[in-house]
Amino acid sequence: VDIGDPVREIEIVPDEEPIGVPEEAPAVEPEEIPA
Amino acid sequence: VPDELELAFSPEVLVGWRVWRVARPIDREATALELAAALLAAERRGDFGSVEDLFRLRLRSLTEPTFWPVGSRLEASCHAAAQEHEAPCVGCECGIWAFRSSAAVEATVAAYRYCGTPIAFGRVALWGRVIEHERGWRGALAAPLDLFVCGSSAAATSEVAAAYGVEASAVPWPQVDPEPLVERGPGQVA
Repeated sequence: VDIGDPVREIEIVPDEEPIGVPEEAPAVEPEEIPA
Repeated sequence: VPDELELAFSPEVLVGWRVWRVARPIDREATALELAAALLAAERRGDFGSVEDLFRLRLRSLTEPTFWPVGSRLEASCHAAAQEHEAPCVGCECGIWAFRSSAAVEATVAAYRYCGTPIAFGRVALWGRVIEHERGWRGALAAPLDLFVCGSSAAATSEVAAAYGVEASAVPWPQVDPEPLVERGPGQVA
């Protein structure tokens, strides 16, 4: 499967980038060790 | 292939179809030596997230060892040419590929049925510099919009959906008739 020959070039600057927000639990930060 | 193409501008992202592997950057069953090598490779490619993330399911390029980032866009790069250039480049095959038609994608999914990992397909947004082709596009920036996952459990599908913040469904492998390897005419012996 290929996408054929190139026909034109488009410069796309969206107002907002459609990036999904991860729903994973954030990584647990290591506890600070008191001095 | 011409060196320069007509240039257009748009504020709307392009939406195409593409296929991914679903895999963990580091296999949970890796040996200590494999794990050390994989961690070193992750550091070299600038993957400075938590080690835990390397054991989670991610979208991976079918043909390149590129894992799609979580919570940010994928940025295309090209290392194929003798001199690295900005991707996508007109005279190269670099950039993030997407197809116009879901039918083309289904044939690819079917071809990867026995590759050993679940396969995801779905819609992808492309933006930045995009080269339009007859049957698809090559873009500079991309992010998945939704996913259909073949060969995966519901739990694994949910893990991928949550990671990328998109809708995902576990679906059966598409039924696509394989193309014959050898076309035979009447009376021909294979």
